Order: sequence, then C-alpha cells, then structure tokens
Amino acid sequence: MIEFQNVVKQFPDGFRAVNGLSLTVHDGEITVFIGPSGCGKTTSMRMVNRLLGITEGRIMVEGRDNRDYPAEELRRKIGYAIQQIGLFPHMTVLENIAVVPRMLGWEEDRIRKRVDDLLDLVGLDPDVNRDKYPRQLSGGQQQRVGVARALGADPPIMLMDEPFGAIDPITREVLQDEFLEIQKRISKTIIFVTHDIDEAIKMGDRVAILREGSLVQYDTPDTLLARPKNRFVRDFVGADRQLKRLGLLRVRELMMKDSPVVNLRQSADDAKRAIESARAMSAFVVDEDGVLRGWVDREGLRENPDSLLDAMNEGDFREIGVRQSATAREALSAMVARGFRITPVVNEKGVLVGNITLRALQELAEQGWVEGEQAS
Amino acid sequence: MSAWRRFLTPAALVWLALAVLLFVLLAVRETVHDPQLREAGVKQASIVPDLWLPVFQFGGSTYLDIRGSDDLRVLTFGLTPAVVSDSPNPAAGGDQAGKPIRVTLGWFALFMVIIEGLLGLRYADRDEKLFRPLVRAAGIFLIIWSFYGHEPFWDWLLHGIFPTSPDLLYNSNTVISLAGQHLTLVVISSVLTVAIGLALGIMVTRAEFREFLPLVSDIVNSGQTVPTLAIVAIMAPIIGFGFWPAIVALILYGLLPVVRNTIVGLEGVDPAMIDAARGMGMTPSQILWQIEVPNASRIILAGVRTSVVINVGTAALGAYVGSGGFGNPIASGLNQAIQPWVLLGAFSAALLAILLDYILGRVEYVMTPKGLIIER
Repeated sequence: MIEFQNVVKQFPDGFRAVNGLSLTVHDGEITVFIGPSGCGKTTSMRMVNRLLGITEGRIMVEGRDNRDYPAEELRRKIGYAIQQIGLFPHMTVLENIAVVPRMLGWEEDRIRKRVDDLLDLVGLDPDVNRDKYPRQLSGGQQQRVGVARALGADPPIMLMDEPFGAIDPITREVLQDEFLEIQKRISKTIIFVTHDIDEAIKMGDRVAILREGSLVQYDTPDTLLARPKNRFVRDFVGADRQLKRLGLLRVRELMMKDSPVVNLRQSADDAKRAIESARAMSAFVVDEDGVLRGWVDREGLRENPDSLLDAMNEGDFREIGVRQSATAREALSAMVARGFRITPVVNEKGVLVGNITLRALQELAEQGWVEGEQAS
Repeated sequence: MSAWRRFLTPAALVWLALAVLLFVLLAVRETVHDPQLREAGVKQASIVPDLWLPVFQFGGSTYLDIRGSDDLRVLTFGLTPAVVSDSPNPAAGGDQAGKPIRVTLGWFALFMVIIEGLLGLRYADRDEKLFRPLVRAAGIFLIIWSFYGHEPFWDWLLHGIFPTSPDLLYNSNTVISLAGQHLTLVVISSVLTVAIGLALGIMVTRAEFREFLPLVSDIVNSGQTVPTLAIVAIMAPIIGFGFWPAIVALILYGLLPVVRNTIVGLEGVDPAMIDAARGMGMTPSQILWQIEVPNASRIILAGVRTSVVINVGTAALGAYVGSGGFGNPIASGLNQAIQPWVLLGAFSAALLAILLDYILGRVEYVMTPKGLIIER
C-alpha cells in the first residue's frame, strides 16, 4: 500500500508541482495517475521512490515513511519502467534484467532462472533473446524487456511512467492486454502514469485525475465515466464517455437468460408455445450440442406452421451471436450493424449461453448519463 | 577443404604474404655503407632483422651493443638482453653465456599465420572481440620493433635515399635506443594524461562540480594553444633538464583531447538511461562506472588515441631539454646539416605514431562494449 499524505512538491523556482495530494494506492491494484501536462502526475510518482524529494507531507510505503529507507534500498524494492525504456545498450537482455537482483546479491543460478521466467512472462523466448543486445530488438520487444527488468527482483510495488507511450498504437494495444494478463498473475501494487484517457480506463483499477497539482477525482473507471465530479473531469474523459463506459463492461456480466430457446428436433408448435409463454417475439434455435443455429420469430411460424426448419432463419453463430467475452460496446456495435434488438450470446464453441438486448444497453448508458448530469 | 578455408582467414593470408616477403628479402644481402657499422666489422648484412624479444631472452638484435649503449636496461624492460657481447661480430656471441636463439622474422610471420589460423578455426562463426585484435596488434608491434633494432636496415634505407651522404646512421645512439626513449616518453606521459584527463572530465560532469566545467575547459584549451616548445622551455628552469620537464609539457599538451572527449562522451549518455539506473536503485558510483563510462567509452578512447598520436609528434621536441627520443637525431641533424639523421628521426617517429594509432585502434575496439557496436 502506498499512501500520499498531504504531499507538496515545490521546486526551487517556486513552482508548486504537487499541492497537498492525499490518496491511497491499494495493494494489488493498478492506480492510474492522469491529467493534462503539468498536472503533477509524473512528479507525484517520482516522489514515491524519492527520485524527487518531498517538500511537505509524507508518502507511506508499506506502512513506513519512505524517507526512513535509504534511497537506494527503497528504489530496489520498487520496480521502475519508463516511456524511454532506458535499457542499457552495452548489456545483454539477461544483464539488463539482472541489474537489481545482482545488486541484491542473488546467486547467479537463481538470477538466470528468474530472467528466463520473466522473459517467458513477457512473451519473449528466453533461448532466443537472453543474450541479445537491446539494439537487436524492436521497440515493442525492448519495452517488454523494460517491463521484465522492472519486475527483476520481484518488487511488490511498480512505478510505470507512460510505459507504452512511445510505441505504435497496434503494438501498444497488444502490450496493454498482455500486461493486464500478467498483472492478473502477479498482482503488483502499481502506479501507472499516462496522459491517454483510453489507456487509463483500460489499465486502471482506479484512476486519479490530477489538475494543477491537486486531486480532482479518484474513482474506479466506471464511476469516473458514469459520474464525473465536475465539468473538468467530464471534458477530460470526453464526450463519448457513455460509449467508453460500455467498453468497460463485458457481455458476460450484462447478459440475461430470458429469451426462449428451442431445439432443432422440436416441432414448430413447440416453438410457437415457447414464444407465447415467454411473451417474446422470437426464439433462438440450437442443435443437440447447444450450439446456436439460428432463430425463429412469430412471422416465420405463421408462414410455415408445419416445419421448424422451414420457419427458422439459419445463421452461423459467429455472425448472429456475440461472444460472452466481448465488451458491451462491441455488442452494441454489432446490434446496430445487424439491426437486431436482441442478440444471442455464445461462448467460444458457439454454445448459446444467454442473450442481450438493445434496451438493456441503452438503459445502462442513460443511467450513467442522468447520474452524471445530476452530479455536475 | 572448408577447414582450410576457415584456417586461412584474410588476416592469416596477409601474414603468409608477409612471411614470404620477409624470406625473399632475407636472401638479399646488402653492402653496409655506414662508416660506424663498417668500422665495427659489419660489412654485409641482410636487411631483414631477427625477431626482437629481449623480454624472454630470446633472439634480439645482434647489433644492439655495437656502440655500447647505456640504455640497454631501459630497452629490455629492465632485463639483461640475451646478447651482451664485446665482440662486434654476431657470430662470436654464440659461445658465450646467454646464447641467443635467433629467429628470423619470416618464421615469426609464419607463426602468426598459424595463430591467426587457429583463432579462425576456433571462432569461425563468431566475431571474436578480444584475442584476434590484440594478437594482431602484438604481432605488428614485434615486427616493427624488430626493424627498429636492426641497424643495417636503416643503413640500407638511408643509403638508398641519400646515396652520396658520408654520414648515415645517427652517431650517438642506436635506433632502437631512440625508439625506446621515445616510447617511454609517450607511454608515461600518456598514462598520466589519461589518468588526469579522465579524472578531470568525470569530475566536472558530476553535479557537485559542474560549475568548474567552463574553467577546466579553458585551462585545457589554453594548454594546447601555448606552443609546446615554449612549455618545454618554461619547464626546464623550473624542473630542470631531462625527462620530467618533457613529460609535463606532453601532459599539458595532450590533456585537451582526453578531457574534451570525456566530457562530450559522458554528457552524451542518454539521460533516460541514467534515470532508469537511478530508479532501479544504483548508487552514483555504480551509475558512473557501470552505465556512464561504458557508454561513453568509445568517445573517451577516441580522445585517448588522438592524444597519444599527438604526443608522439610533440615528444620529438623533448630533445631540446635532453629527454632523448627521435628528437635527438632531428635536432642534431638540423644543427650539423646532416639530412639522413633528420630523416631517420622523422621517419621513425612517424612510423611509431602509425604503430601506436593502430594498436590503440585495436584496444579501442576491444574495450568498446559489444552491445554498442553490434548491428541489428
């Protein structure tokens, strides 16, 4: 846990970069510091491992004032990754990652094993990359090594200063996704600085919005989008915040199971009864394995009252369904594109697991909108 | 077949060609023209020397003692040379204690073919960055040093250029003695220059002493603007005549490239790299020696190389304060209008400068971290 307690940073020229910041970074969470240039986000982060001194107030790292630690010892306990990566070009990948473990006096065998594990973790083949030099790696690979190096001695805390900022957008997305996967396994306490609101919403368990050295709002991304505290936050998160918010929610969490389902072997009458008893307009059709094969509606049954196969609209589950792992934003986009009001939700094998309605998504967005308007 | 191809690397082929050339030249016996050599009984000689390896009491120039040089100990790095004979006749030395093993230079070149070939076999598929450059540099040093020790070669050379001149070789010292004095001046002054220059350059790039940077810059710059001869002349009354005033002058003159390149090299290290190093918990001295110096090494070593080559030229001026070296035949030759002496000094000094530049180039290559040279 990292606690900022009324932290002030005043530079020798009198500029107050951070002005009474108080917040708690929770264990095992990614806390994003975000704000416009000069808001003090990087300054705040750099005071945690004392790359910058604190003018007033204090920062507690794992229950102790961070000024009680010798500076170097403190920094060796805190992983550090920066936008420019800062790999040491005269050292191999192994030597780069081994810097902190070596300073801590680890045995060479343990270091070697740790480096291999870390390279695996960040998706680089140890046998291929261990003895390469940074110049032989692409930008994305270098940043993976940068992350591995920050994790070198398995520090409980990590500071990441726009770690994916200097990487092309496609690779950046990949690295973000990979890092979230890694974080699921390692659960580090992370301060992540960025100026990109989309990255903040994607990466953060909590997001702290800073402005002119002060904390404006500190909340989960969902709350931030649904209930921005003031005009500044609303402008900062952007006009499409409702859509962004849908991007945070997984279909798995929103889907319902209220739509009727019929089996391919059942008759048209069975389908009709199912639809009527559910007071629905249509039913989904699955095969004996539960895989989605299409849907049937009242109109189809009226035209072909004798055969379910003739009455139904067949379709591949990839085209008519949405994956349960998709975001609500993707589901909305699919529904708008296909003109559906209701869409079946399937798992990876195409088995029908539920359904999601346009109305539900609209309500979700409206609810946030109304709350947000009331708050401001 | 492929083993042969790997054995006969380009470098091995060059040594082979050199060996053939040396054996062919060995057969050419020249008539000696220098009156001093003739007086000592040397009438006919090959222009190709024996290998000069006094350190191992192995071979050595049989003409070394013809003028009873006082500098024998200096020349042989403190060891008594294999051949200390009162007899001017090389053959007569054979029965005495310390019987020399004479190895003609052609055999040494063949030996180098084998060494290069074995290194070629050993490191066929790798760029080997330590043995090959250093072995090559050592081989070339021994070849040239052997020529310095072979008076008939210089007799042949000077007679070829000045066929009518009655005087050829310098009358008060052997070429190898002069070379030894000159090299001693250059090596000692360069070692001190590098030590002082590195210390100054490192000091003024530290935050605590940065305010001295302009001052130190000015001083080292002015050291080079004052004519060397003037420095030598000023030093002589203060320190006295001989070796040390020349050393002081050489240090003052050679400091500029070392200090300037050290500053430029250290200032040029990517600040992000240093930030990463600090953030990882490296101490200032670890950052200096493990990060800054290795990354600046290429530029620093280039400065050292420039400084040493400049020193070879300026060391010739040491003759005016009696420090010896190739300046002696130049100064005496100018005074007494004996052109062969001037040429002997100038040519030998130039050869020494080229030799040292080559050796330092190899050293620079060896000492530059591989990660900084490597191509993608």
